[in-house]
Order: sequence, then C-alpha cells, then structure tokens
Amino acid sequence: MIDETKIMQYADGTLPEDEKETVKKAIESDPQLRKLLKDYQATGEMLFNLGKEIKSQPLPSSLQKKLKIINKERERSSDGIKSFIFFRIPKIAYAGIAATFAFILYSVFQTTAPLVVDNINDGSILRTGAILKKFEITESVSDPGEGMLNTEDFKIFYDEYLTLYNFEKTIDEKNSKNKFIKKIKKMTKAAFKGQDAKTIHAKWKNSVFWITNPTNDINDDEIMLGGGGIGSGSLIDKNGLILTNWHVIKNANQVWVYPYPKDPSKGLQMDKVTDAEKFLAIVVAKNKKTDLALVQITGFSKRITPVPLGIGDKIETGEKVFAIGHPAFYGWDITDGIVRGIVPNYEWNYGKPPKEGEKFDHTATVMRSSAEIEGGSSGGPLFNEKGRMIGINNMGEIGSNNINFAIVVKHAQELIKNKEQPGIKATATVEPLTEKILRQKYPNLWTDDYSQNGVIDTWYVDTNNNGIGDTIYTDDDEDGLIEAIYIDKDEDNSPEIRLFDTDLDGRPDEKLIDRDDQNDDVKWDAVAVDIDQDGTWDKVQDIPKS
Amino acid sequence: MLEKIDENFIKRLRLIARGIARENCDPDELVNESVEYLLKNKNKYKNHPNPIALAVLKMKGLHIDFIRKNKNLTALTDQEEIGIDMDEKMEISLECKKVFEVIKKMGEKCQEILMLAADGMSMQEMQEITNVNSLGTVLSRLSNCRKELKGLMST
Repeated sequence: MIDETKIMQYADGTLPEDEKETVKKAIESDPQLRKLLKDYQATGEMLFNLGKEIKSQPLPSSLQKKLKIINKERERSSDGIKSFIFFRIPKIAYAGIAATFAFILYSVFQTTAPLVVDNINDGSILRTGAILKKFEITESVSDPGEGMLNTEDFKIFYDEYLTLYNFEKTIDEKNSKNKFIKKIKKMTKAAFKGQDAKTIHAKWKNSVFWITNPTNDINDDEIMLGGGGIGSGSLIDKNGLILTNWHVIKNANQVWVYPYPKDPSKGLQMDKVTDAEKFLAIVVAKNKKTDLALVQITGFSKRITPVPLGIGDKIETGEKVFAIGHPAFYGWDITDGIVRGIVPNYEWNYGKPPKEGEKFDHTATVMRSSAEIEGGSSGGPLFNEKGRMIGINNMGEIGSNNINFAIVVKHAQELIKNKEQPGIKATATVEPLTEKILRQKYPNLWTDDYSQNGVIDTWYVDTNNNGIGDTIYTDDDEDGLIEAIYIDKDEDNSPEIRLFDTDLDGRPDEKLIDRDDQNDDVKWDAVAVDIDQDGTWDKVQDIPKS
Repeated sequence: MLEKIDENFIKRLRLIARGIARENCDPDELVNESVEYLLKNKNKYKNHPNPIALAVLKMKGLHIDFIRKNKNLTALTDQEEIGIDMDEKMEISLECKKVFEVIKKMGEKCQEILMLAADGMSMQEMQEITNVNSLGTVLSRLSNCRKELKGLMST
C-alpha cells in the first residue's frame, strides 16, 4: 500500500529518486491513486500561483521604508566606514551642545541634589569645607518622585554627619585642652563608633526579604523542570523597591517575596516561612550586565525601614562588613568579615565561561569579602560598620578559602536612575489571570472544585461553542490567581498542551506538549520555555521518558 | 544575516503572514514588527542559518501576543471578515482570490502549512516553523490540508 504522502511528493517532484519508480507503477495500476495524483497536482498549482501572485504585490509604504533602512544598514556594514557622529550634527545643534556644557559646568559649582549622589563617591569630598559646600544638600531635590531613592534619608544622614564633622573640626582647630571640649570630642567619636553584627541584625533584618523565583531555569542550555531560584533582597525605598541580583529574578516578571516572619520563634528555615505572609513583587528594572534588579511590592508594613545605601561611603580594604541573607535555606542569617579587596570592572559568568570570542555576561566593580555567603544569599545586603549597605552579595568562589563577592552599591544607583528608561525597564504588562478576568472573556464558563475543599479551583471554557469544554484553567494552590491552562483541541478529554504562567504575570512562560495525545498516555513529551517572555517559545526540549 | 533580508525576503514573509494572521490582526504589521526584531537583534542572530524561519517564528509569537492582548474569542467570526477585506486590496486573480478565501476558512494549522507550501518551503523548513517532531507529521498534515482544500474548492 502506497502512502498518500508519497503521491503528494511525487506530484510535487520532491520524492527521492529511488522511490519514484515504485510510486509511478502503483499510480499507473490504481485509478484511485491517479485521481489523488491529479488532486495534488491541482492544489500544487493553486498554491504555487497563489504564492507567486501574493509575492508579486508591491510592498506597502511601511515595509518599503523598512526595506530602505535595511538596505542602508547593509551598505554601511559592508563599507565598514563609520562617519564621526559629531560632524553629522546640524549646525544649529552646536548652540544646544554649548549650552548643555555651560549648564553642566554651572551645575558642578552650584548646589544641585543629583550631584550629591553622583560625586560623593570619590572619597575626597569630606576633606575641605570648600568642597563640602559644593555638595551641600538643599530642599530643591529635582525629582523626589515616584519610586526614586528616599532622598530624605540621605538628607538627614548627611546633615547629621556634616554638623558633627564641622564641630569636631572646630575643636581640632582650637587645639583646646579644655576638659569639657575633650568630653564632647569623645562623645562625637562615640557617635561614629562602628556597629556590631548584633546591632546590624536587630536593626535591618526586617528590611531584608526572602525572594523565590518560580520560573523555570535554564542551566547549561538544559531546561530544568520545576526549577527556580531563591535569593535575598533589601528594601531600599519607602515605595517598596527591593534591590536584588538580576540572576535571582532571571526569566521572571514577578517573584514571591517573604518578609521577616511575625513570629520568628517557629523557626526561620525556608519550610517554616513559605506559608507566612508573602507578596507578589513586580520586576520593575533589571540590568544583566551589573547583575542587579529592582522588584517592587505594595501593601507592606510601613514599620519596615528602607536600608540606607552607602553610596558615599568609601570602601576600604580591611574594613569590617556584615552580610545578611538566606544561605542554604536558613533565613535571615548574618555573617561578618572584612573587605579583602576591591576589583574594578570585574567580569564573570554564572555557570559556563564564555565561548571564544564571546563576552562575559556580567561586568561590575566588585569587592571580595570574607563575610560568608552561600546559595540563597544572592541579592542580600553587605553592610559596613556604619550600618549602610555598601554591596550586594552575589557569589562565592567555589573551592576557595572563603572568597565571596559583592557588587559595589554605586551600580544600584545607576539602576535606580535608569528605572524608567526603555531597555532596562521590564516591558511586560503584568496582570495575573483571575476568575473575574476569565468571566469577562467567557461568561458561559463552568466551574469545578477539583480538590473538593469548597474552593473553586477549575474553570472549563468552550472556546469553539460546540458544547464541549476544550480549555481548562486551573488554580491549584487556590490563591485566586490562575496559573495553568490546559488545551484539549481535539476535545477527547485528554489535554495535549499545558501552558503554565510560573511568575503569574498573565503571560504563559512554560509549555508542556503531549505529542502522542491519541495514545492517552497522559505524559508530557516536550517542554518549551519563553525565556524573555516575548511570546515566542525560545527553547523546546524533549522530556526523557521515565 | 542582513544580506539575506531583501525585497524577496519581505515578500515571502508577507505571504506566510497571511497564513498566520487571524481576526483583525494586520499581516503586514506582523511582517513589519518581525523585520524590526531581526534588525534590532542582527548581531545576536548574525550567524543564524535560517533567518526566514526565525522571522516566521517571531511573527507567530507576535500573533500570539496580539491575540492574548486583544482577542475576545466569542466575537471571532465577525472579525475574521476584516482579515479578508484587508487583503482584497491586493490585485490578484479571481481564481487565486478564491483559493485564498477558502484557505482562510480552514483550520489554523492548515492555513499555516498551506501558505508555507505556497511559498515553496522545504519540508525541513516547514517542520522547523510548525514545531512538530517529525517530517512524517509535516507531510501528512500538508497532504490532508491539500485534500481538504481540493474538496472545498470543488464545492
């Protein structure tokens, strides 16, 4: 018996040479196959003509424009010549550039709040009064706006610092031997006495969160089913911004965030806090290069104080540091150590090193510290003795004698500033699917309580209106957010596709496929993931049969 | 990769997009955005062996995105007409117009594979784009869809 597809290939002229003779003989001897051949020839011709005619249509203007751009790009890349951009600026723009330079120069020698954050990092600014004045903070903060760093905290801190510093300096200048002055001097020094681990933990544990990322992970190019990461993060702003590592929130648009438990006496291990109060945090900014990200929560306790960023603190080798995080599933762990060294523009990868000719994934100024961290500490704060965050713990060197890395906090400042810029801001429209939204779309759906505990957890939808349900929405953890969609296109009561929205942003990011649906083995054969959540399945992988 | 994106490349995408786009989704907009994506990521994909497959997969992704954002499944039937209207601007022969209209009434898998066939794609390319696991499945799907097309054209 000749397969029909062979006849089709014969009609199209795509059949391998060695099979042609057999197929030809079969067609000649069977009138039904001859008819089939004619049908295929006819549809082949139809499709060929259709393709030819549509392709012969002139391009609409929008695509013509695009083609022009492509042609220009192609010419440019084949030339290899790039003209110097400055000379392309129209003459009128020179005036604008000059004005900008003038404004910048003016700004540097005047008092502007953003410059405080920009320049205090050079370590020399607290040396002379003249420069101090340059960085004085005024009320005229240009953008106190939404989600930005809490400049009020900075202001209070610097005001205190400057007052005390100037006071001490005056005493020094007078070189007095007065006992009273000496006492004051001693008190001033006491105000700057370094804090110990106990104080830092007591003060800042509530501001450190536990982050779990539910999305699948890809390690060494392999999709890890049921993967997902855990990490730490610090509240840095009263609007709920939490600073963490990019690799902690990798692939997700939303992550779960757990605050310090209200009743810590039950224990702080991972399994003790997972059922506690948790927040769905939206990823609002990320920068893969510096391995940093910001997530935002709402509705958290206003008693939680944002961690002050030590952007202005000079990081010195040998100074004492403290790391808070959740190493190896133990929550709110604190370790201490010293800064072992600072490495500017350090390059690194998680997992495999880059292939020849490729760049490292991450580049940032980092510090090596001896404050121990482990998996789960990623994204957590590294405090200095003043109780300010100077680094974001990101990794330890495997096999080393306690060499741990933290990204210098000034990179966080870049991220916060760029929060609203395109390219860095997460683009997803984050809206978890709920029963309410589902009902607006499908008013005729019917429901089920699969777990039989009195809570509706399953919704059946008949998308093609033939009276048979073909799509099932489920909320297995019964938190009101639908996380999975089962599609049963052939309506045989055995779904062949499961779409899973692991980070609950309303966009499926994992697809399981049952390719041999007909045999009812109810086993998924392949998994696909949409890593960048752009609606395209980026990687498909067979699931090994167990 | 840029050297492969020429007028013919875009015209092929326009044809295939007509097998992907449904409802009031403008196929040319899918082409536009897909080409834009290739342009933006030209360095990432500079050694991609098959830019046309990449562009088509992107169009499919964009279409899913479009559906997810805009679709109201219950009102599909009316909106499908808009898709056909849009293509009536094309100056194609009556015979081809009829074939196209019949294809647009078929299932989405058929629409896709028939337009890929109309483009003259190889079975391997079709397999890559349709994301099925064997060439046999592609062959049988195309064969069945062509039989269906013939049947519908005869009625």
